[in-house]
Amino acid sequence: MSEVKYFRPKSYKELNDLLDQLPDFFLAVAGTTDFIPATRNGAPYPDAILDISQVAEFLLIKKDDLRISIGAAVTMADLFTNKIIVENAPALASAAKSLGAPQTRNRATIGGNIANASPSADTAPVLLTLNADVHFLAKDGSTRQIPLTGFFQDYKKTAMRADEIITGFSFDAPASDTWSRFAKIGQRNGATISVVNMAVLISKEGTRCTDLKVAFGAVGPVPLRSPSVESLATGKIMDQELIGKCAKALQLDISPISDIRGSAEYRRDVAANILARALTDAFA
Amino acid sequence: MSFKDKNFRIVGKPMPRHDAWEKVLGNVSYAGDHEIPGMLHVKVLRSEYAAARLIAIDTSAALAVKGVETVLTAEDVPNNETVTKFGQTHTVGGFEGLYRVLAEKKVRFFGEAVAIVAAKSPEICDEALKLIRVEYEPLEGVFDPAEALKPGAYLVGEDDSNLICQYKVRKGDIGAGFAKADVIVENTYRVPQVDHAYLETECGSAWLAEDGVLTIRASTQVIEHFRGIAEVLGLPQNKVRVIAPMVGGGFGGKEDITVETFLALVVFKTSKPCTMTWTREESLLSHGKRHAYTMKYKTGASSDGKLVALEVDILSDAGAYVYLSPWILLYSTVKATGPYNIETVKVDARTVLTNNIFASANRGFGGVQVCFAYERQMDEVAKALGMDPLELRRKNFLHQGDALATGRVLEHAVETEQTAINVRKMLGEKTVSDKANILIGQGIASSMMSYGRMTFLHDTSRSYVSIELDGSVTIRCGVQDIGCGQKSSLASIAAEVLGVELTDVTVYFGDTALTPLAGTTTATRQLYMSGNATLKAAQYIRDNLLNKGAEVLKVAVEDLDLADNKLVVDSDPSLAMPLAELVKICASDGVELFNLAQFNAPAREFMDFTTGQGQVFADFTFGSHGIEVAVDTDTGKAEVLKYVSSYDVGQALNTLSAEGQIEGGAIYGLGYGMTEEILYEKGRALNANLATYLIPTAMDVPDIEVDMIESHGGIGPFGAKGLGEPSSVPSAPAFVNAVCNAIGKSLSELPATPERILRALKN
Repeated sequence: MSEVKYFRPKSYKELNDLLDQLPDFFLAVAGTTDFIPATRNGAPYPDAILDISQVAEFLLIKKDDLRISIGAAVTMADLFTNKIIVENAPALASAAKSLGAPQTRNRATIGGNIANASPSADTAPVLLTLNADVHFLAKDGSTRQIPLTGFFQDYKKTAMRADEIITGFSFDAPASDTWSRFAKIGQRNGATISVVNMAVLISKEGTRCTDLKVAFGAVGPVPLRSPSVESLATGKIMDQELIGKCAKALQLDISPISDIRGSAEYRRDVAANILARALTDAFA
Repeated sequence: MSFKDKNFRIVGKPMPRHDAWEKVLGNVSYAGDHEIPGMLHVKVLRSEYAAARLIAIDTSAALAVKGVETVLTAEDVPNNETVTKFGQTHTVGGFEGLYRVLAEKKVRFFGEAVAIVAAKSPEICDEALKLIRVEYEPLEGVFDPAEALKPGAYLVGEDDSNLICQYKVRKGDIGAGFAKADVIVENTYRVPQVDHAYLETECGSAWLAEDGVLTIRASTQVIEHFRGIAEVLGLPQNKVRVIAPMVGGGFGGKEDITVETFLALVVFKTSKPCTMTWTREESLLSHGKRHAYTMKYKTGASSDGKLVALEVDILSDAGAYVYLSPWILLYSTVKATGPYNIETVKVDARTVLTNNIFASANRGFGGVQVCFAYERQMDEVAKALGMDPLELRRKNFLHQGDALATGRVLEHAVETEQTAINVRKMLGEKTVSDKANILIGQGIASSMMSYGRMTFLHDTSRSYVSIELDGSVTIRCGVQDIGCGQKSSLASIAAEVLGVELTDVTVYFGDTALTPLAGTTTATRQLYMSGNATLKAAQYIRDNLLNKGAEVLKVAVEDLDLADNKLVVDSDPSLAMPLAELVKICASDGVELFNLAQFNAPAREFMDFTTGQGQVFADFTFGSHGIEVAVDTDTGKAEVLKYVSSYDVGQALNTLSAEGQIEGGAIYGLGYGMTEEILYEKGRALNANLATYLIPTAMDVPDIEVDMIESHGGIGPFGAKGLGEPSSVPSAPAFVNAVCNAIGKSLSELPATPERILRALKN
């Protein structure tokens, strides 16, 4: 049994000051709701654990003008009770509220949910529809930000480098008349991992869809936007015929697999059905 | 109000549970809470193959790890293989099974124990486990019972066939029965293997007591396994003691030996105390599961709704070892008709070894699987006849005085019809859906479930009751309390009979050395068996007290009663005497203030194997469940909107506990209906944790409305019937009947997952 170094900085400054002490194989953790099950299942321990759950700056949700930023260590429980989120991104609040069980939601963080890069991560589709950026800090002290759409590269593979950690997310607050929904298909109502999840963000003028962003999880190796549906619907009058076409077009963009939670066929059917239901409800 | 006039003070009232406060305060020390200075930690190496020949095991590297005390394999076990009759007190034959402590010859299932390590810490155990070298020769294995029956099939064990046993029931001329039928409905029902998922995984500790008695304190439903453990170690039975503290859930999963022999072996080899707790993954992989069944049902009915013929074929997957499979199959065979009077019946049932995890007892014990089939089938027959499902059931329910297909006449109360009428009424009018994608459906299911063991086992229980000099009461009874109030019920009985309060009674339980043996906490038998034994013992003391009281007060004994800690004179309340005073008089005059009573269940000979005729059970509990669901046609998700449950409980001992049992049974059964299933890939369980093996959460269960009929027609104390298993039996068919009613399609497989429901909707 080898020793594992453990760091728990309380502020961004403390974090910056200890960066050069981190070995090459370190891992940033916060709620550890993915980390602990993974190590119990045999995942190797890193040489050092960087616990960012107490970094004060990473616990904040802010709105400056139209830009909303969320720190990496904000928990699911914080997200769905936060006024800025509930008012500006209600779908993100729903997603946070649907994740795991109360105990999980009290610990699990948005940074961890994205960094873990599970195809079924519940906050991912919502952040994708919000065109969120993900912010990084590297061991050398440098920072960068990239669109989340470019973050997920393949199953459990991301654009985050080994020497980086996620520090937070930012996105423009959607207009107040935007229609949004997060939908989750689980095998039961509580403590369930998504078989399929979906986020939609719709701008409309009457029955015309002026803008549509739709993203799905657990229907491919990564959470993904559906460009086929978005380009088909944007600018069009939304009627039952178009809704049917959208549900069909979705099939081009997804590549679900069969696993213990559901078959590929079920995932395709349900993804189409919940998309059609959302479009119907949005334009009802 | 007292025991005398049957207008009880305690029995039948909503009382706080006797053991509730200590549990709420966290004061109860469960089997895993026990610390002994210097105790070793014990862990198991488990097979990574479902079927393989065991060539060699090299434990030298593991033994060399600092802090490792011992590493044991089959060779180290004095009697690694024993042929057990699994708890029989009366030998009937045909029920023996091989019990193997550690794998030898052939590994039979993925997760089977191959070796055990005892070390100074759990971490050292883990390190040592990785260093044990096991040489396997992988074998093909067989995972489907139908395949396992074919000639030339892979043989799971050392016998020349995988078939464990078969039963049949024959009533009347089945051919003539079907000839009379106006409609014939045929379906094949499939139910999967499921787990018990108790909160407390298997755990315990063991030590060598100063008197040389090997003592095991474990989470178990059966302390009487001390006999089997003694046999494994080659010790006299009186040199092994088993203690069962409060158990954190059993549901049948702790009816077989789990940690006990491993702990005993370590003490036997090292003379050091030790402890063991299984992980959730181990628990899911290695204790007995509820059997997966395939059930073919063919029912013939006349156009007026009378059932004229039923032909049933049951194939049960016993998994890798025999354990309780033959008994469970017999339960299924006798109950295959359900609570219905059918003119002609033909039942054939077989149970077969495979390389899946072995199956054994699980709440409902073979009564659950067939209930899914017979109650789904009733709805399908009703549909074929264009008849209301309740109406069809009412035309066919068995009543008191009727005979089962086995010829057994139901002598005691049978209130099935009333429970079915009640649940229909409680469900009320169907909720009206306000959304196009939401379909509402209602379903009911009724069941017949035995309480008490099979009568040919000649079951007994003993209980010792005494009254102390201050008027407080002590019970010593070897029940295992698995969280259902076994201890509390006994306290209620003694308090009622002896005229004291519930809090005046202390119950010592679950210790083979100190409490009279009371048999297993299984088969919904403890209230019936140990309740009757306690009643008998308390009654003896009561009689002694009243006789002495009559002598002292010079009144007729019929004029006396015990209530509110007093000797009461009915005709003259001013003569009342404190109970403690009466007790002191008795003590000084040499009147016995204790009694050890034995209750014997009615004993019968074994049924006739050629026809299935005879008595298998002493009595049954009858009840019905009703469920309303909302099915989302987009996703297949079925939300339970209403859940109602009605039982003839005979006499509730504590109405709050009885309601709790009925609610718990409903939820346990709902998981079977909605989500639970061990998923396999060639014998390897794919979902051996609670993130993927899905039991209902608080979010999945609505409030459950409970109705209790008290017929006083049971054979337990005060006319009580048993509730533990019966309360859970009809949940799954009630749920699936509701779903089928909502979607207008038929489902014949459990669990009825959203995916299966959506597929049915598409077809």
